[in-house]
Amino acid sequence: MTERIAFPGSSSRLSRAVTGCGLALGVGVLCVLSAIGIAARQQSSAPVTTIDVDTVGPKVGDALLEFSLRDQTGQLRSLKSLLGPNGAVIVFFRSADW
Amino acid sequence: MELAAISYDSVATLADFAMRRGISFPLLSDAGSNTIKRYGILNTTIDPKNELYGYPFPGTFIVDRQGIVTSRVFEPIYQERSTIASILVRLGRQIDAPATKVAGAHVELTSYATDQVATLGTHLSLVLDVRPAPKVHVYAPGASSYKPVRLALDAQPGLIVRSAQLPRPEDYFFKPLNEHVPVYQHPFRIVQDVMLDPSRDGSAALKDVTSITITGTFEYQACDDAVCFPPQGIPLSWSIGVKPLDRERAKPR
Repeated sequence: MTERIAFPGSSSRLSRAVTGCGLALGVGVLCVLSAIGIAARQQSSAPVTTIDVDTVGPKVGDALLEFSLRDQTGQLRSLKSLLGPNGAVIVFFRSADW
Repeated sequence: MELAAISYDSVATLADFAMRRGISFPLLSDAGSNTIKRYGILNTTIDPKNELYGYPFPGTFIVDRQGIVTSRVFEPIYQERSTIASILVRLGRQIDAPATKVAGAHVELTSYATDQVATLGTHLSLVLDVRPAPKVHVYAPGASSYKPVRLALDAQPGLIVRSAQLPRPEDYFFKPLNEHVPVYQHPFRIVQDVMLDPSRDGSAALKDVTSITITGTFEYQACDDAVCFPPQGIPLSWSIGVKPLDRERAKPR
């Protein structure tokens, strides 16, 4: 008495590829092929050094180096002083000004 | 979890920015870029004579209470940035976000977006928690002959659909047919990454837009140990506020 209804003609697993292309700050063409998780950047003019950003900086398992930096109020903050019971999220960003 | 953000701006610039944007978490000034250099994340593709020289490859470290890196995210394209909430969800952590519950045939869904507001280039995630009814399983990607689960988002200008994260399925052995099929029979989570398209076309599509509604369908087929039910689709939607890129600069001093 077992009945299994298989789905007819099922499962194209390939999801729709969404492609966005456009000028990136006037220096090249930015294309994002998202469905397959590939992001490619092409420079149309002078060659540029490409760096694999996954290889820069501290790795998983490394201890972040201690620092002592002033916050927006002028107070000195160390990494140690920022660590809570659940640790911390430390974000490096390009600039708050441009 | 504590949060701090480091850049090479002066304290005065950071103070101005924090005031304009109502930021209360620490913004740390690494003027001179010594910490950025010591961390080995200085953007070395910039000519030292360039007035902007000294900024880092933008990235995020998540550290434990001892300061050991437990995960890190560096974006290969600087115009694009994952939100902290999206990073945390992809790491399996819990976040606070307003969620919607939907009851479907043989499944219960809880769904939310990691972020309620985004800008061009923002990577955020749509989260779908799926709870199969007792003794019910649904099919995982890779199952042939059955309709596997899929969150199918509707295309719209300005929206880039990125990768989806699904957990490893369980193997289900169905003796009458002597078949092994990948399934989910316990609560599981789909994390679907999306982005507001920062390209020229995306910017044009999102110009003067203050919010977008992302729509899609959760597709699945449920079976119990005796009967397979017809494939189903549950419509879903998420509203995301759209804010323009911040092009303000600190006041000249």
